Amino acid sequence: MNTQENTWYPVARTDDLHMRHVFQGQLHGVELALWRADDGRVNAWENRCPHRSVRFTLGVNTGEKLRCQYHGWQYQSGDGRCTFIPATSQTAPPPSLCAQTFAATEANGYVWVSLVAKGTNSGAVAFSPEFTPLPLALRSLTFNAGLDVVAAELARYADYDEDAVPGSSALLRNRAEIDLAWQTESGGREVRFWLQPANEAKTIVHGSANLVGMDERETLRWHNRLLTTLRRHVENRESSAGHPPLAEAVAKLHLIPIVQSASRNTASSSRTLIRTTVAARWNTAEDIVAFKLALLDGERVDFDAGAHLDVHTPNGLVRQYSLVNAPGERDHLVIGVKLEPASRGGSRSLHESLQVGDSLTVAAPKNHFPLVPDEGGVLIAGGIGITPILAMGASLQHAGLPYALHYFARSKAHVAFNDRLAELDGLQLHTGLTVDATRDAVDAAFIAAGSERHVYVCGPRPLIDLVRERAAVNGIADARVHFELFANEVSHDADKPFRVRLQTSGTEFVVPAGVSLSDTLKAHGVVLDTSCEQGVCGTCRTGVVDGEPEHRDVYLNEDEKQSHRCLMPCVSRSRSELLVLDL
Amino acid sequence: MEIEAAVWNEWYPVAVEADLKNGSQYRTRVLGCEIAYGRDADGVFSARLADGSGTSCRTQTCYHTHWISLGEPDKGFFALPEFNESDRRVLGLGSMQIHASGLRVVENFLDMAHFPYVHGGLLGEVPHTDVKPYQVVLDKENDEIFANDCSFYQPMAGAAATGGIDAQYIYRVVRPLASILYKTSVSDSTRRDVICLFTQPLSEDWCVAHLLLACIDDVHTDSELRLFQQTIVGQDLMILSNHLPRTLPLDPKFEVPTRADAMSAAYRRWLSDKGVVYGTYRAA
Repeated sequence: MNTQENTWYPVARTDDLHMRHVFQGQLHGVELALWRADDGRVNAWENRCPHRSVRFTLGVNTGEKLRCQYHGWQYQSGDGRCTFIPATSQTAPPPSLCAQTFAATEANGYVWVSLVAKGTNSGAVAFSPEFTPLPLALRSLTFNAGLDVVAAELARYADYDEDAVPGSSALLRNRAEIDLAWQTESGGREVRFWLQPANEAKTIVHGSANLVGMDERETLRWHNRLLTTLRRHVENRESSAGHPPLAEAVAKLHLIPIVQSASRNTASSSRTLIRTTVAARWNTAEDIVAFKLALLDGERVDFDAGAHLDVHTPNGLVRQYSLVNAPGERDHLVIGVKLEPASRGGSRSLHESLQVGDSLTVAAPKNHFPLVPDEGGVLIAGGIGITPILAMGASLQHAGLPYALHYFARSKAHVAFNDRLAELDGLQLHTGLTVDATRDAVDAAFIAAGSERHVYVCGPRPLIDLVRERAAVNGIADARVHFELFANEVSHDADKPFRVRLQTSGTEFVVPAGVSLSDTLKAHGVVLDTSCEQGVCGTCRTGVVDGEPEHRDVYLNEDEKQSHRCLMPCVSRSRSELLVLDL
Repeated sequence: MEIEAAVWNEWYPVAVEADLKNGSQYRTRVLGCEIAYGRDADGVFSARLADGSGTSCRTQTCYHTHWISLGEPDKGFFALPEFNESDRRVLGLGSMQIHASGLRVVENFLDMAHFPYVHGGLLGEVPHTDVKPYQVVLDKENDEIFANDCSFYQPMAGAAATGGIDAQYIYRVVRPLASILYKTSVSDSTRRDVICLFTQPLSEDWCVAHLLLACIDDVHTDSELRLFQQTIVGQDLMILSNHLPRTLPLDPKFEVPTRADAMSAAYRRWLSDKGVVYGTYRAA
C-alpha cells in the first residue's frame, strides 16, 4: 500500500469553499488557506504570505489569484507563484516568491490535503478515500482533544443511542476513518466519521449517517445531540487528566522557510535559463518572422500577458521579445521578430540563422508590462508592438473584461498574426494612416472608452509619445497609461559584460549584458541562495577577492560598499573587467 | 528567560501624560514584568515592580510621555526639538494594545506600500501603488536610521486635508521600539507635523502602541485629530493581529522584501546588528 495514502486528511467540506472565498483550515498544527479557483482547482497553502507573514485567509480570492490584504501582492492558483507586486508594479516578482503549497484534491464532498505528498503543477493527485460518505452529511464538530482519544470514544458511538440493541454494533476502523453500524428495534443505523487532526489537542470530526426513519432535519438534530454529549465526555476527561491546554499546542508554530519552499515548489523556475527548440518558423508579416519555441517534454512555464523573454541570439547577444501566447497556451513560446534595418545583428541572426530544429537559450519570462488585475483596457499597438498587445487582448477577452485593441500598421501586408487577430472581437485595424489620422484615431479610441479605462501601448517611440499626450488631453490620468518601449531600446544594453572567476576552483566565465551575476552563477552550477533578487534582503551576499564591484543594492552600508570586499550578485555588477569571487 | 542587554537597558513608555490622574495607581507589564505606576497628588511620577519586592524602576518624563526602565540605560534620550516649539499642539492620540510583537508594529509604521490597501481612500489609493525609490541613511553618531525623500499620493493625508496631495514623509527610527514620522503639515506646507510611535513591550507577542502628535493646526479639536489617527490604527489592527508568527523574523529566509521595503530591511538589519532577540522569531 502506498504509504503516502496515510498522509491524506479531510480539511473542509466542499460546501465550505464558497465561490471567491478563502477558508481557514488546520492540519497537524499547520494553518491552511483553502480556496477554489474559478476553474475548479483547489488550493491548500500555508496560511501566510511570504512577504510579511500575514494570513492569506484575510485576502481576496479573485477567481484566479489570491491577493494578500496587506500590500496587495497577488499569487496564482496552482503553483502559488507571486505574479504581481503593486509597490513595484513595473518589476517582475522574483521566482523565489511563492506561497508554500500542499497537495490538495476534492473527493466525496470533502477537500483532502496531504502535507507530505508531492503535488504536480497540473494538480493531478492519485488519491481517493476508501469509504464513500453515507447520504446525510452531519455538521462537522470540533473536539478539543487529540485524534486517538476522539477515535476511541467515537468507536463507542452506539452506546450513546438509548435504542441500540446491546452488542449489535460492528466497527470498522482505518486510521482516521470510522464506520459504525448497529441495530435498533426499528432498524439498522450507521454512521461514518472522518477525523481531521487539526493539531495535537484539536480534532475535527466530519460525519455522515443514513436516514433512520425520521426526516432529515430530525436525524441531523438527533446525531448532533449524540455527538455533543460524546464530545462533552471526551473534553471533560481530557481537562481532568491535566492535558496541556489548547493555547500551548498552537504555540508550537512551525514555519517553512521561503528559500527552501521555492526550490520545493518550482523546480523548473529555479533554473532561470531555459533551453528551447525551434518547432516552427513562418513569415507572419512583410518584415516579421514568427517563431514557435518548444519546451522540454512536459515542461510548462508560467507568465501573464505582457511578459517577454530574454533571448540569447545565435551571434551571442541578448535581446528581448514579447510573448504572443494566449491564456492557457503555456507549453511552448511564440514570439515575433522584426528585421530591423539598423540591427546590430541580434534580430538579423535570428532571421537568417535560426531554423526549425535548432536549440535556443532563453531566460524564464519576466513581466515589466502587466495588465492591471480585474480591469479592462484600451490596447494600442504600432508595428511589432502588436506582440505583447495581442497577448493582452486575448487575456482580456478570455476574462470577459471590456477592451478595444487598436492595431496601427503600415499596410495590410505588415499586419502580423492574422489568425490570432481573427479571434479577437475587440480588434480595430488601422492601416496606412498619416500622423494626423493616427492622432484622430487615438482620440476617438479614448473618447469611446472614457477616462477611467487603463491604456496599454507598445510600439515605436513616436506612437508612445502621441498616445501619452492624447491621453492627458482626454483626461486620462498618467497612472493609467502603461507603455513598454520596445526591445532594442530597453536599457539592458547599458550593462557591459564582464568576466567572473571563482576563487576556489579557478573557473572563469562571462556574465553577459542583460543577465544578472546571480543568474549566471547559477547557470554555471554554483549553489547560491537568492531571495528578493532586488538587492534588499541580503541573502545572496558574496565575498569579493579581487576587482571592483558596481553596487546597485540597498542592503550594504557605505563602508561595506567602499571596501569592495563583498557584493549582492542579484543586482550588482562589476566596474573592472574581471571580478574574483570568494566562491 | 534571560533578556539581552540591548533590550533590558532601554526606556519604555507606559503612559501618555494627559491620560493619568494625579493620585491614582495603575498597573501594566513591561518585558513580561508586572509594574505599578502613577503620579502622586503633587504630580510626581514613579513606578515599581509589582512582584512583591516593590523595587523602584528608573523613570523619566519627556515628550508628553512617562517612561520607565528595568535596567540601566546608558544613552541619553533622543532629540525631538519640535515638542518645545510654542506654536505646536502636543497631544496623545491614543494607546492601543496590539496582539503582535512591538517590532512588527514599528515595521508597519515605517511602511508605505500598504497605504492603498489598508488605508484606501485616506493615506493611499489604488492604482497609485508604486513606492518611489527613497534614501535610507544610517546616522552612525546617534545610531538612528532615516528614510528620506519618501513620497506617496494620499487622497486624505490628515484630518485637515481638503483633497489629494503627494505627501512627503521622513521616517526616523531612534530605538528598537521607538519611531518618528515627519509629514508635510496640511495646514502649513513649509513645516512638518511629527507623529511618534512609542511602543511598550508587554511581552514578546503583545504590546501597547502609544501615539503622540506634535502638529501645526489651529482648526481641529483634539477629538478630530484623535479620531483620524484611531481610524488609521483600527485599520492596521486587523493586519497586525494576523501575523503568523506574531514575532519578527530577522532571518531573510522566512520573509522576502522588495525594493520598496528598503527601510524595513535596514531596520531588521539594524536590530540584528544590535543583538535584539526579544520579540523576534526564532525557529525551533
